[in-house]
Amino acid sequence: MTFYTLLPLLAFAFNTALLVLVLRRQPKSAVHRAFSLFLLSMALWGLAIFGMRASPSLETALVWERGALTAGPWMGVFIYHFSFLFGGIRPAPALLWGGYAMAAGLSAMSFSGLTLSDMQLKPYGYAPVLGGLFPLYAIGTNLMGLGGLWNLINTYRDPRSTDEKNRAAYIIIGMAFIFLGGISDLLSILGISFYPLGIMGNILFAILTSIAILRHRLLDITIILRKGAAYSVVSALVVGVYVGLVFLVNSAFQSWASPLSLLANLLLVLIVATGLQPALSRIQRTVDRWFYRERYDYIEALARFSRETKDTTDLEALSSSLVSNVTLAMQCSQTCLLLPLPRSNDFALRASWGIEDDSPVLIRATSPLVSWLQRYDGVLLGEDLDVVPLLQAMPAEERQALTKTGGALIVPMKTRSNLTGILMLGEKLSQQPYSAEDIAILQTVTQQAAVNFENARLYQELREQIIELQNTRDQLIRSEKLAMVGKLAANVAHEINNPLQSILNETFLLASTISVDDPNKSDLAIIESEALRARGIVRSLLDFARQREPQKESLDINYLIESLLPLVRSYPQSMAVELRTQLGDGLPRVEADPGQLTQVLLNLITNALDSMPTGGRLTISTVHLEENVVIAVKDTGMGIPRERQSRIFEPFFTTKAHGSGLGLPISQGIIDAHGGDIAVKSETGKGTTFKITLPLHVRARGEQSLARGDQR
Amino acid sequence: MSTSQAFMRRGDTQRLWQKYCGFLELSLAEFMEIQEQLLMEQIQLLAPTALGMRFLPDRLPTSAEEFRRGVPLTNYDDYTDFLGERRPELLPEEPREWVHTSGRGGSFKWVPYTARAYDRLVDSAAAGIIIACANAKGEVNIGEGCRFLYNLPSRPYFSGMIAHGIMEQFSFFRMIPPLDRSDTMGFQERIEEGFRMALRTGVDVIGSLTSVLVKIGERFADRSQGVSFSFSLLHPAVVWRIARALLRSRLQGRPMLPKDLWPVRGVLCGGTDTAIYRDQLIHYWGLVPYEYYGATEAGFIAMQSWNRKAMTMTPYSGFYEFVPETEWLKSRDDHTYSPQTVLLPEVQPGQRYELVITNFYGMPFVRYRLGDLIRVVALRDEETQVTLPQITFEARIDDIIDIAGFTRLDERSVWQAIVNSGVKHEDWAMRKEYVEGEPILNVYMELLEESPASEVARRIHNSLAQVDPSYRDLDNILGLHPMRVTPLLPGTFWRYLSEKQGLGFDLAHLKPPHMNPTAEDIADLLRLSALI
Repeated sequence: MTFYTLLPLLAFAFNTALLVLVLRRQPKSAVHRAFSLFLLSMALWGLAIFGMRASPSLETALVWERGALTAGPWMGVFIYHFSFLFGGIRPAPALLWGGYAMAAGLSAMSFSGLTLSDMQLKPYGYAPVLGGLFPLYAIGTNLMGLGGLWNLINTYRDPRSTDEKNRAAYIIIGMAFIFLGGISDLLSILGISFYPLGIMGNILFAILTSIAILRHRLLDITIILRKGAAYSVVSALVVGVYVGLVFLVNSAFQSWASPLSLLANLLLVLIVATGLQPALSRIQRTVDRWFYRERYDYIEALARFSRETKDTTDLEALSSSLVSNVTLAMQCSQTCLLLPLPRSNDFALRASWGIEDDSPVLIRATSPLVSWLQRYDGVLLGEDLDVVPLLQAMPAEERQALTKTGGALIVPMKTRSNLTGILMLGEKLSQQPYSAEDIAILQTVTQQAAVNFENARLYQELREQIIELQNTRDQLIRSEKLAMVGKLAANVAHEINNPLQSILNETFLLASTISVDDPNKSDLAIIESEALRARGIVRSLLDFARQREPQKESLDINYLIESLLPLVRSYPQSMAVELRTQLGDGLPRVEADPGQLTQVLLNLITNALDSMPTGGRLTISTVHLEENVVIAVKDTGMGIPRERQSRIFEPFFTTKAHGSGLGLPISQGIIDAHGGDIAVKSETGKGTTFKITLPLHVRARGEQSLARGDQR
Repeated sequence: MSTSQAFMRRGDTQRLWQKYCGFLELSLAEFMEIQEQLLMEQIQLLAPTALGMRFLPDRLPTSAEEFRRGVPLTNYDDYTDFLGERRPELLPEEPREWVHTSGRGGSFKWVPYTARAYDRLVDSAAAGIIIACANAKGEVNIGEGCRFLYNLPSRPYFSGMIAHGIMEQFSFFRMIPPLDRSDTMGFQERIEEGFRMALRTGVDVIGSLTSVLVKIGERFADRSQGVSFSFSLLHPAVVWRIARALLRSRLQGRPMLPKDLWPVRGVLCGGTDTAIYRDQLIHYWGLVPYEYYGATEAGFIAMQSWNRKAMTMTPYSGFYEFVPETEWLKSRDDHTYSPQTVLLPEVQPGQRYELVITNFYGMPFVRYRLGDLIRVVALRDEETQVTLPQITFEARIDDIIDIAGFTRLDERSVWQAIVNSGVKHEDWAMRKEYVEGEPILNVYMELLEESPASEVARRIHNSLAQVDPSYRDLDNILGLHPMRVTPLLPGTFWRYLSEKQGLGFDLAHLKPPHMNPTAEDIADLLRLSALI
């Protein structure tokens, strides 16, 4: 029994085994049934060829060869039928049934001498002597096969999932093997010296297509080739080394059956077996570098990410490194990284690659997607969002947000059961699906990244907590200081108010007793005005000390501002200033004390006007931001030097020649009492902006002070 | 190409099953998670609309509990100013389609379907088709070229919209008759054309009113009616089909039945009579009919598993609340009383509940009383390993007749009793009347046999006592025999139908309701009977 004889038996065994597999998987599927029929005809063809090659005489070989020729047209028509079902193409019934009729006719013809007249002996074994109508037989059989190939190519071209394209590619490549094998068979039949490889082509086809159908998602062709190449090289190396060593040992011991020789062979086997595993890995890497340089680089890129980011605690750097390395490694069109927001735990876009649309991507902490990723291990394919029952309840806006991220693959980043991030990848640029190996690499990387991100997040949280603590401490100190100042001011005011009043009274009396021309008249006027100024300061001190609770009512801020404008325009300082308003449309009403807010606004406006003695522009704007109304008072004045900015809310701190230093502390007190916030942004020589944030819904006071963390 | 078509094409039946039928594998907690998720989304969708402003409190509910506390129960009258005039501007989004349900007394209930609700409805319908053709979990017996005989009313009925949706989602299906033709046909014509075509093409799945399938089966069984000759019967495919059917029936020594002509994979039946005619359907069509429970206002609410027993609720069609029967009775007697509801995890096996639904996907109904009674038969199905409560449809609340305070008869029980009694009849209608101050149940029945009315009443009484234990107690405890029969002459119901058709009535109002018909309906029946 030679290899030439055994090969068709191998094809028969292969096809029969695959036939059983395919039928067991989905016995009722029309696609699988059609493919099974094709495998059956291939198996029968292999069996007949085996019978022919193993025949003792030319006569017996002729009978078997006719059997093989009978199976040929059925192979053609079954693959033709399969290609329709596989591609979801509706065939014209006449075409399909015509194909079956032709297969039946050609099959029947095989039993006559018209197709095959006799057998002959060739150097490799028996070969047919063709009948006159063999060309018709060959054309008919191949025509159907080509028709099937045409349908499959159309299926491949048709825009559909990459998964399907890939599977069609397998079958097309498999069919190419068949046609190449068929051509070699034909050449040998026609007398051209060529080894008939048809049976090999059939075996390859069966293997490729069956893998495509049975395990498509787990394999892609590059992996098969890569693994195949690696194992071939390893096998060649191992066998070569082993055979060489055996040859040497046997040469040394003269007879391989001697006990010493047997022991030496056994040792060789052990050495080779022990060395195999490291050799395999090394050779695999070498093959990667030789044939798949790009891919090798990608994997290296991911390894680099792991190395680079191992000790980084900067979330920003980590995010962009992960996204860029993954995009490079996977060669995908888009990559997005979503990280949880500090308070809500909603997942928001932190870093991305390849996304042009800048609308926000937000997946709520309560989203079914987050719930699923937290609960289950593994990755999600884009289509899983339509398949997994829990995910079918995802809100429309989240689905929409996901579509712009590409969403071909969703990889969770988890530490234990804690979801620390979501990595989303778009389609691969090659249009290939993500292979099992890609997914494994991604999972390894995201697993490590998750730990890094968790560490970075904890570090950042700690840092924020420290800043918050510092702010709270400063706040407490300031509050205490303010309280003391208030108490002192109240006492001082009380003590000073009476003498001041006496001074004013006496000044008034004195002024009324002297004549208008009296040279002391102007001195008295100075005494009176300074005393009045001192009384003003005392009143401010008392206001500051006795800050009252705001009397809140539903207030239209825009209306309040507009009603202030005539008053502001009457100020002499406003003469050279351009006054502008940018009041937001549809601004919601806030609960606020109109008197107190007027006081704050006038204070800020007066400060702004004072800062622009030579003219400039004052802009008052309002806007609705999330749960707040924001009022901005912006001037183009001289600005506040950076070193003074932190002190402007301190009582008695002033940059004006005649300022009391109480306007801003009082304003801050009022805004605080409204549950709001006042902040300043200033640049020397360019101007200052005061931003008042008033909440639509007031939180508890303790909560407010803790929530504030920005620069005052 | 839809995802399902892609799955179908690559033979990925596992994912296909999971997409459509995966809800059967949900735990009760997961089911409720989906419900709450979709409810919260619905609240956000409705909040800025006129409907939302009408029903939702100022402070929007943030949980199902708050929602149930803060939103009143509603019925269709609360929506008539919006929906009766089909005003899309009052809804969260422009509806994709308006469909209507029959309603009572000749008035329709218009219901808008948003695009997402439409897609979800079609997904549920697809789930029904897949399970109807399955005999085990994960089995997908539909595929390319699947022939679907559809015997349900066309658009703007809900069933018509589903047919179109199915063809959009599964364009590889072959609808019999094709929708572009059947949409323009009358219902009767459509059924005839469907079966005529099916003789040539064959059928894989049937979606039909139970009564239609029973009638077809009866025609086959009653060979005296014969078959009218048509040239279409000479088509080779028809000849071949009939020959095979004849051979099958002869081999079994019985007359030819529909199942011999059309060995189908699944039969989806609509109507409360499916359970009543279950045995006949099996006999005529060769397999157990598949039941689902749907409503125009809600979509598909529940469907059977592959064992075709009780039904499992689908989590995506609406937020479900259940009014216990005691609460329902209180609210029925006192219209100002607002009954308490329970959620699915709180239902008790053996108890009846009135169903309350809140739509998802921007559909309009909020805590809407559908007017249906369901029974929870078990908290899980051991046979299929479905861990969700199992329900059956009991009755329309409008169809319930209350006798003596403790017997509540529904259409299904009475219908079953009439069928079991063996009384040959064409159709019937029953209502509660009073004779000398005593309540009676008067069945207006078109008899097809010559029996005295008292004898027919006795047979129905006995049969109903078997079907409904509470009815039996009327006799046992109170000695009441309330059943009466008023015979109508043969042809009465046909004349009624013709007359209504002539007056331009819609399909849903061509027959009087079985239970609680109006006085006008009864007067019409008696008048038409007298004219014969």
